[in-house]
Amino acid sequence: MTDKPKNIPFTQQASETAGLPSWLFPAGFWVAVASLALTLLFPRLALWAVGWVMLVPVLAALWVAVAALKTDRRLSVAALIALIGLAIVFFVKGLLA
Amino acid sequence: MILAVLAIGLLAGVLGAILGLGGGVVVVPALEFVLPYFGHPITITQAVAVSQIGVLAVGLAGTAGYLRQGLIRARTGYLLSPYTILGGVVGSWLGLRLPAKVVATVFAVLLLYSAYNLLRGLKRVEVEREPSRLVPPAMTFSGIMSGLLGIGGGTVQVPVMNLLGGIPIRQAIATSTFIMGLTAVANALVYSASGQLDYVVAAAVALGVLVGARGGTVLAARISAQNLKLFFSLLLIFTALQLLYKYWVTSGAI
Repeated sequence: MTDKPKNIPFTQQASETAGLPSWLFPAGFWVAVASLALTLLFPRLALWAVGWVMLVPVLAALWVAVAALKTDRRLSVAALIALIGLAIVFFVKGLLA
Repeated sequence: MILAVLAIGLLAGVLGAILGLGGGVVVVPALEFVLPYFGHPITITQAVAVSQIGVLAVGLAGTAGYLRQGLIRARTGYLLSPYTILGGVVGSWLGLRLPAKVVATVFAVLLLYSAYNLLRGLKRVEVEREPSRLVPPAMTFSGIMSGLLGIGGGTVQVPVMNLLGGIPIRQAIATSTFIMGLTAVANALVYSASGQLDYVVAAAVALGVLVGARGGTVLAARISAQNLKLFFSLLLIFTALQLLYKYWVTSGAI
């Protein structure tokens, strides 16, 4: 008989959030606030500011896919799958619109 | 006009922080009703497109906070996000093709459902459980709703992750916020490619949401959520009826 917990697929493990850089989202937040505030004065910057907001989750996924490659392969692959999904949408968006 | 849009974003951010229900539920109808007063009429498809950036902002602000608390299940989030991305793309595709009347009707139903949930309180599970096989299709469905209506995760995704995924409620909310960022990126890409996304309006909404979400966490400690729930539920019901009236009764609405 063993005390080992049952392996539930979505069960949280200590390493599950380890791959996410804790600084990236707060940094992304403040850069977004600054750049979006600039668009109130310079509306032409709106495309770039909105682009930054869209880029933050992508950068995080990319970071996790690379950083967790050796330490947590499952997390790395999961992030890679999400990125591949976004890449497919990026390349076929013209067909969907 | 931009200040009014900023105020809409602020309201969405504050309500999102206090009630966990902001984003598209506030942004889409508010843009629909407010912008015409400034001589800038907006279609529901354009409002949904702008709302995708508002949802992204909610995801950004929420993820930053939840990461500090260690509530986000990154692996689970990344594993589930392809389903929500797929659903989001299908929903966005539908949103660009379905008549505005249909989108508005589905939105009104969602508003009434949200009001009902706010008043009744969501059924929630606090203990870890084995996930159901229905999680992937249910997450895809939540993605479809987000793409079609410009909403985040609070309404559909959190109950799916909590009740079907067996993830405790606080982690389900945090992980849903994390996933909604990735889903909204895909949705926004589709809407921007269609030319429906007004970047200037979207930037003002996103700024309002980011600032409102920050301020909302402070206000949450001082405001009675119970009274706000009742008020907001009534507002949702009123908005739903007004949307239905606009698209079903008023002649000339497309």
